[in-house]
Amino acid sequence: MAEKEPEIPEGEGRFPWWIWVAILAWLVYAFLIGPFALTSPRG
Amino acid sequence: MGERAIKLWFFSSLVWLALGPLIGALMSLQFLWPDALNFLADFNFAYSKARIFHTNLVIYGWIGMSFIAAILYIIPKLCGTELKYPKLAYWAGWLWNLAILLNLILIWAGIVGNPWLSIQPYEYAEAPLLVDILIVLCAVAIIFSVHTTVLARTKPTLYVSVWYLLGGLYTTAITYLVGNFLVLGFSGLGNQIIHAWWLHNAVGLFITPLGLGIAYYLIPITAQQPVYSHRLGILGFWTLMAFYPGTGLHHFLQMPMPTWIGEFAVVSSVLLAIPVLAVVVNHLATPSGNWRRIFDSFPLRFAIFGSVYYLFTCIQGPFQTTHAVNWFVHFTEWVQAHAHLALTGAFTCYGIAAIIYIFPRLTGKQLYSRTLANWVFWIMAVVFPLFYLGFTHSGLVTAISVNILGNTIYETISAVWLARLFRTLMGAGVVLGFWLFGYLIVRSLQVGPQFQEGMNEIAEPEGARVKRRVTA
Repeated sequence: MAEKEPEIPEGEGRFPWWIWVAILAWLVYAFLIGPFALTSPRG
Repeated sequence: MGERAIKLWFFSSLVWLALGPLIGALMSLQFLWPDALNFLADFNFAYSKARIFHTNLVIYGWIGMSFIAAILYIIPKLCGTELKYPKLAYWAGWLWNLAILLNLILIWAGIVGNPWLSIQPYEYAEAPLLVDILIVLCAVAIIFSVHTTVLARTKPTLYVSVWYLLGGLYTTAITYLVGNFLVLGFSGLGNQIIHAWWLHNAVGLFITPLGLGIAYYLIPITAQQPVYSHRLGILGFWTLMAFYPGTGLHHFLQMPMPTWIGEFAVVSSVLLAIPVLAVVVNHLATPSGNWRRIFDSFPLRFAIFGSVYYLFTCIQGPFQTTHAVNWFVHFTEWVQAHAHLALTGAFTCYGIAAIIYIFPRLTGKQLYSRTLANWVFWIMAVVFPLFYLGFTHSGLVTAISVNILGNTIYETISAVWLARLFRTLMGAGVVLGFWLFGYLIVRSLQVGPQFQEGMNEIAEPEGARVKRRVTA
């Protein structure tokens, strides 16, 4: 059973550039914009 | 013997899949007609017990058992050896089933004041202490069997699935011990802080790493492509292990709790974007260049849909932990919708993909009906998102009504009735899909055509075969 199993090769891909933009935008929202601009009316 | 163990875990998981979601659908009737299930009181049953049945059967019965079955299959394959201690894994399967059954009986009985047999007041850890001990015994047996298999490997490198699956088994053990045993040693706020840590990590450190490890195996194999990135595999695994343990306390942001603990949970949850994107980019970029396979391969189709649902879940999850969103959606059905997106969407798709891939290789039989498999797929691809949207809509209307307009929850119930009806109808559709899937598997045992490696997991319809022959 085990011998028939093909190896799973692993590539050298990286994040596309727009993923970095998305991560940056998310961190800016979560840490810089959200806490100051959109906090709960309950405080 | 190894195959017997895998079969036991797989087929048991299907039984619990048939029951767990069905109980959820029945429970939803009570939101429409509050008296609908009152007759169950005659049988010592109530909504609160039904909810425990629903969550425990889905988490430990369906997802737990199908994932462990997949692990018992995948690890020996990736290590180029046979499963070690297969008898141990086999009997652990029976003990796990016994634990689930005993759990149901004890929850139904509702014994009060007995330290071993009473329901415990912790979400997803309601199982009495006696059941907890049985589950721990099973987990130790499985970890022992899997880890010794990895140690006996003939392949020098560990593929990323092995990290996730072995690492996930250990984090499962740690999380379970904390959430079911350590928590008992604390009282007051400390007790609830540990409880919150457990209830989120039951998903994050038990179901998530195991599900992702299974998908990391199925996607490249069925897409017949190399994994997109070794580097992202490493990044995703270690950032998951680094950030996930800190997230649990975001469940209790609206409750009295030291601020720093809540903030630590929010920051950890925000940072989860990194492992999530690493995993999802890796999964979705792997079939690139060979996307046609998604039409031929049902395991690939379900696994890719699982990863898409995982992406949506994990975009939604960190958002709803931030204060800006959390105060708004907390105490509404938005949260349960999110939980269903993860467990019914992402991880159930991985479980179904694993069963479709492994079933023919275990039993030597193809699944007999492409039409039925298509039905299951389209229910998961169309009906499930509608179910989720009904759930979410109901949550949003509640949030606006209570948090913005200042209405009471009683004034809100009539406003969400239609959304809840839609949710129940679509939920019944999803349950039907699971029953069809169960039927497909059981019927294939009887009438499935002979399977050989290289063939499709699902038999092509007669007409298609004839047509192809004529064309040729």
